[in-house]
Amino acid sequence: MKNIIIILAVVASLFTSCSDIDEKSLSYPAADETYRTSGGFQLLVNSTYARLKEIYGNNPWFFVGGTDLYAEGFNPESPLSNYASLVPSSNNVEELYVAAYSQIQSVNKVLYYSTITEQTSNLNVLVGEARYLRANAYFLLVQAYGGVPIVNDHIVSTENTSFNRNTEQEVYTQIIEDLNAALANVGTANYATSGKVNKRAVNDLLAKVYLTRGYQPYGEAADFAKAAAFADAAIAGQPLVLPFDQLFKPGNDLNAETIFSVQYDKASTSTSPTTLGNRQYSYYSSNLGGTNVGAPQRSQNLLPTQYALDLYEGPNDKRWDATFMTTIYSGTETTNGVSSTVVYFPYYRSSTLSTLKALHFYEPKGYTPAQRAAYIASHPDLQKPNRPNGDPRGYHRYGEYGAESVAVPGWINDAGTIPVKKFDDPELSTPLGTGAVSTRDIILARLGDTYLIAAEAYLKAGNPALGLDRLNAVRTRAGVAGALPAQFNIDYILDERAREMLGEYNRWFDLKRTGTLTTRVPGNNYKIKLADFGTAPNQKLLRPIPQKAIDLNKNKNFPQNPGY
Amino acid sequence: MKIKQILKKNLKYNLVFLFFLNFLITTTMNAQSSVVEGKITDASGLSLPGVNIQEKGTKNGTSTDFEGSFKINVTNNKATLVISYLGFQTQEVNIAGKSKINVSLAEQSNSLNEVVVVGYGTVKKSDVTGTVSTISAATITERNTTNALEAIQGSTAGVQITSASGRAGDGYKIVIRGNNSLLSDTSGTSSTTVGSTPLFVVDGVPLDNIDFLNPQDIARMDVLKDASSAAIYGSRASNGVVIVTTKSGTTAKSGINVSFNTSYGTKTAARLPEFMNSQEWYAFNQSAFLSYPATSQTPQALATASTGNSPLLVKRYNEGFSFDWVDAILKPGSTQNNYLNISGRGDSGLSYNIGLGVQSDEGLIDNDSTDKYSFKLGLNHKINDKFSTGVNITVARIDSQLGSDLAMQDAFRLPTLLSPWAVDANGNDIVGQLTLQPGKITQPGNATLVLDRTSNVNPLMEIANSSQTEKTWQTVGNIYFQYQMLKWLSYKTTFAAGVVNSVTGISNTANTNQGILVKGNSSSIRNYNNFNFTWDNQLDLKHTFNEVHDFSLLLLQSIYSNTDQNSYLYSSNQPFESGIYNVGSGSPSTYSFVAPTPETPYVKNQLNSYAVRLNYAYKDKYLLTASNRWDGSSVLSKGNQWESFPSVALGWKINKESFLQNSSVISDLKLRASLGYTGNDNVNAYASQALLDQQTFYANGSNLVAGWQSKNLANKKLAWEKTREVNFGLDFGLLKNRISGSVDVYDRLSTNVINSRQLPYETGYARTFDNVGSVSNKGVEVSLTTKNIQLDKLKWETTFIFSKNINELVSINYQETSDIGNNLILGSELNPNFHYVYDGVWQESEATEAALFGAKPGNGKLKDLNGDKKIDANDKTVIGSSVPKWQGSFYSKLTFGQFDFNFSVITSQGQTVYSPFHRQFEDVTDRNRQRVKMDYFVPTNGAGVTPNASNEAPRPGPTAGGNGAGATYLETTNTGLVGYAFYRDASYVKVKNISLGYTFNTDLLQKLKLSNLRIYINVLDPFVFTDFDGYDPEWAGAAIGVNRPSSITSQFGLSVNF
Repeated sequence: MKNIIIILAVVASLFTSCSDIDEKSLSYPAADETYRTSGGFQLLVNSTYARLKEIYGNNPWFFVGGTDLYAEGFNPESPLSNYASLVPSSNNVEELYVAAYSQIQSVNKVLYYSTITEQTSNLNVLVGEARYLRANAYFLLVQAYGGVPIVNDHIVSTENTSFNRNTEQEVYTQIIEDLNAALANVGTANYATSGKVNKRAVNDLLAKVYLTRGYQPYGEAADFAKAAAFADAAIAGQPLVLPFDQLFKPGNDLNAETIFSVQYDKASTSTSPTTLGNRQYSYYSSNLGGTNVGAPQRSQNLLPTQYALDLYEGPNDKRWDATFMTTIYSGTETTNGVSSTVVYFPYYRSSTLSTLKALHFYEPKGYTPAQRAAYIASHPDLQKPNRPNGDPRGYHRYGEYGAESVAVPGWINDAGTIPVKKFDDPELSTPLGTGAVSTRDIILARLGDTYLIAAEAYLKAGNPALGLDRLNAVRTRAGVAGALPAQFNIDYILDERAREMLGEYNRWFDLKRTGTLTTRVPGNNYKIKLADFGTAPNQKLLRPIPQKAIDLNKNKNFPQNPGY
Repeated sequence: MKIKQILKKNLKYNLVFLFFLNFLITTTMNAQSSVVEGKITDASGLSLPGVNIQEKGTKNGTSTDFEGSFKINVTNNKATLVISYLGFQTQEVNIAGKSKINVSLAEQSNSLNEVVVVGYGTVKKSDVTGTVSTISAATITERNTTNALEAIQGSTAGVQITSASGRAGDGYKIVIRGNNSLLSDTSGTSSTTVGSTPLFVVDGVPLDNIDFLNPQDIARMDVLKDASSAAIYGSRASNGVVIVTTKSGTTAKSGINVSFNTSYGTKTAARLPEFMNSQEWYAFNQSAFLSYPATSQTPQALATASTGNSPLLVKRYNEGFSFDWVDAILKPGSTQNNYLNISGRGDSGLSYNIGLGVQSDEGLIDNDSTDKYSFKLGLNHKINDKFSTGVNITVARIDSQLGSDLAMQDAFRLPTLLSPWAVDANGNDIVGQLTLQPGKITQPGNATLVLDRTSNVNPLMEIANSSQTEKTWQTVGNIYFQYQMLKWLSYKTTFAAGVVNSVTGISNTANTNQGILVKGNSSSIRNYNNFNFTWDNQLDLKHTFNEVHDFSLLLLQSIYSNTDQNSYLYSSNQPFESGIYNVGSGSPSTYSFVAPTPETPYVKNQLNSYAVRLNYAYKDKYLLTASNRWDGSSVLSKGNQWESFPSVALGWKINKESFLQNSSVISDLKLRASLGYTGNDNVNAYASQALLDQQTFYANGSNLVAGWQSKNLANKKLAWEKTREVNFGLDFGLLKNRISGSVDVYDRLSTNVINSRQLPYETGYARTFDNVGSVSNKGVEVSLTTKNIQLDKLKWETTFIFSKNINELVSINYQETSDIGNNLILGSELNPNFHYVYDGVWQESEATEAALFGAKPGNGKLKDLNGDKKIDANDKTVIGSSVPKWQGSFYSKLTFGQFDFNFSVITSQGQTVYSPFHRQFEDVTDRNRQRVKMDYFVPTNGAGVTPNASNEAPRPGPTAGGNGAGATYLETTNTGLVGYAFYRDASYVKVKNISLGYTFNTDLLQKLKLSNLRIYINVLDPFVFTDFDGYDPEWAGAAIGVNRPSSITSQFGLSVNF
């Protein structure tokens, strides 16, 4: 019996007290410990920058969908491009909302840890950069959705899931507060080498914020003047001297005129070659023939409208050739020892353009029949068979390759509209057929844009002469005659912005800011009629609050935007 | 950290200490004067070792040795010996002064007297107080399937087993008494949830599934359905427990026993959905190119639009061309099953069981197969009356070839007007020369497409050039040591471990879809390693007081540790077709070490547990079981790691009461009542810790800068999910058990259910693991077995099983109303089909009404539920039930002389599932690929296409023009593609198998020196009755890429015992 008692005692001793069981991850370090070190804090700031890719790297509907410059092709666009069927639960409506708040929370985390992390001399600079990024996110949100919740807490608990809408005015105040703090702290290093937010970028964004608020009923009297001043501060006297075709040349994303951009790097994409890049390259073109003929994949939507093409004064405007791929070439390339015909990219990769075959040609404005005949005669490789009018299929007459031609019976999809080439990424290792693969940077702010912002701000601030100066600086670089004082108005500026910045991610916000969405879009975009905007068209100047945001919010009194 | 070390140390010392104690402790025996000896045998005269022999009314007992002999000192020469042995009827023998007694024990025939495995022990079936179903080895092997779960589909009330996809090697899903866990199936293929998978315990090793086991190696399965019986497994038992006992040799008969089973079967595709023929598809295609409005379009304009770029298509149509893709791809599959078993018992107390199995399952297309090799060894050694030890190991090798995810779907996607062959200059097929993209055809020497349709690849090439292999070694085993210190006290320590090593290799040459995308060969290897162990120490105390109070007490201490490791390699542009065997040969710029769906490279979790269980019986009439388990889990947040899971159950054997004792009608009657608590901690191991697990990339100028953040919000308050269940059961046997069965009703409430909860967007986080709410499952289960005919030559037995479960979300922890964002709808089942209601097609006569909704005639119509002339979030509702309303089965076995004939039928009724099959093949917005035969809307037109005012499917054509199906027809959500028009009722009745066997008579066999020989034919899944018109209602919800057609397997086999 004694023995049994001993055994029982031994077994009982196995029953140790109920204490916590620690199990550490060997793969990932604990967030809190790491962020309290200066190295870890830098990792946090880096990933905060990287959140820009979530905002800009995927679908472009918020930036350019449903505008006067681009319209649907063979593939459907998002309901965001189509005001008639846009409802809160439509696809893509939540994308900007989610990405912007992800950015904001990341900045909140930077601010939270900035006070408790290892204090370094560089800390305030990093915090300033982060606040610029938060301002940018709120600015996108307020323009797209109106007054949104201001959430500046570092969230650590699952308990607070109730959020209220702030007014647009409050959001603008928040943005300006962030930007002022950023301006006071960020560095002045050249963007092309540092790649970080600098004072120039902050000035540029401040100009845009004040300009945008200036149009609003709650805007302040001095907003336009401030916008002009900040724009001039961003310009900082730098003239527009780079040739336009250098601005978007592959490999030259960090040129002297780039003020701020989302930066990609080829090296990073090896961990996920098909998802870590961006997709800006894939829009603004119809199908180019498919991967089976060696052509790069295109989204087949956001095709430039005839209206957009007509804005150019033909090839006299240097921006025509620098914006569009006016000839599609094919050539033979050797990959992995296998030679095959490749369409489109040999234009960039071949040292001798003359050895390539011209498959498609997009006739410039004002070509005479004689010029046309001569071109066809000298280019036997143009895609056949012939069209009913006798031209080879590869010859595209002016007026027949805008987005609306898609609706013409008998229209042929492949290379049917003129491709935009500004964002092409001809790197040899870029897979042809997969999703987000471009590692070109997405340029968000550049000097030409700032000149036009200044032009608009001066015009609105009552100083059209100075405004016209800024605008004509842009035109002069493009090689076209300056605008006359009599021509100089908001519409002219919007036209100029279209010519200068076709495909860049800003058109919807330009039209929204200037209140011209409902006047410029119907008709110019063949898919959209005024009736599509409904009975109160200006309500469509705001996007719907995503249904899922409302569904997930514990606060059931979170109002939807009117009209949805 | 410190605590862990102390614990480890403790365990180590204690083990050593115990080890020595075992040798030090001796017990004494009192010598008696009167000696009785004898031999115990079975009915056939084989001696039985280890039989218990006890002098009635005393503690005096012994057991037989390995020749079945015993010797016992009894107190007087009129003593009665109680002789008991597992699987045999207990006998009482009065020695009546004799000194030598030979007894032949009869095998138990009454199933209610069998034992039941209840976790850390067994009890007599008649003494069970919870709801435990036992599935015998005979049932598991009867259907002759290669998967143990398929073998028991429909055999147990309340246990829902369904095939995952119909693909060889994809396995089966099992849900016991309804879903009560929210952790969703990440593959999104089914209404069941990963968190709802029961705990499998295979020889002491806890596992997620038992697909690796050879059914023939399984001795028995015991399903612990109610919480009181499962509570002994505490924190992991919330979804029920399936205890799998493999053949270990403990019940091996003396001598050597050899048996061999073999069967071969062919499998053919069956019940294929009807697809369009060339004419029908061409007409569909034409109507999909009608312009808007269609009245102004001329036939010429339509021809240009629809086929202007594809003259070859027109030529083929005019020639009546048709290529049967499905027929070209599908081939008969096969199943093979070979199993050799050797077992025996030696003179030294050593018994063993050896099993060798080879199974193969070839699918319906090439490169779709599973080969399973299993080796099992069970050794038991009863060293003497006090010590016994044993080891039991199962090693399985599973080679699966899953082929390409695309091959099967592409075979069905390609229209019959497309041909697998390249064409010559005249547009005629060059038979034998395959073309990679049958929908993109050029003629020799001309780059212009003469046929321009889909870019889907040729499945014949895809199948031949892509490979996806999964090679897995899986081992489970245990070693135990048992010490019977006293008659009433025993100690057992068991160390059980499981190892999985799995390599998934995917390779695609240039001639595949992937090859087109990456311009060359590509391959990847994923390596998965798992090691887990469980160490149980248990003390069992058993005693009877005053002959009427039976007590037994279990004390248990257990630790569990589980470690997962994952790694991944990928490259493309490999110069040679070296498959997965030279991943490094790819272009370095394509190297990737992160899988497309990344897994955590290292995961470890631990569980510390203590348990106690008391069984008490009074006069063998009134039964009580009470238990408690304390579990501490490393995956939960600090302060919330420990929880206790108590249970209590009562049983009343009414038939033992005097008023029923002599009843000729009621032979067995037992009432059971139980209450128990179980838990669930099935979340990511580090869910409550904020870790830097999300890598981001950015560049600052030319510097690549990596960043790290947390993917999800860490929930520092994450606590146990706890389930409370009340169960009432009645077991009955009537007319000498000619009619027997049981009825159970239960009410289960799971609180603090853990979910991967989507957070409000404003938080900036996507998800967190959270205790979100309470889920109720209420149900009833009935099973009834009747022995309809019991004659010498003719026997007929039938079993009915019925179960109904009502699953309902009853509350949400953080708000009063439904959380639509997380698809948590109060009052509805878990994972409901919450969507708009499809209401047919807007007709031309309804143009004005349609315009109010922004739609045009021909568009799909959504039901305006609240009648506000607007379709918005308020018009979404729960469509049907995502889980079956009831399930049942019917089993019949007829024996006539040497013939045996049996069949089984299973049914599942009332479930509405989102059908990816219909989303794929009834989607009218896709005008380039094959469609199922269907009725669709065609507008009035001037282009010569016959109008059709169909209300079934919308007008064909892309949604882009706003003319076709309508913008929301294919609505996507954040959780994946979900179209409101593709919910289908997937109720079915399935004849699971029919088998006919013949057993040769003994005379003939004796000449052949065989003890038993049976030959049989067996047909699996011969008939299905359903309204579901996709591949198979059982896997109606499977993702389209892995979804396989229904099939019928016909087998011929024989089993021999030597």
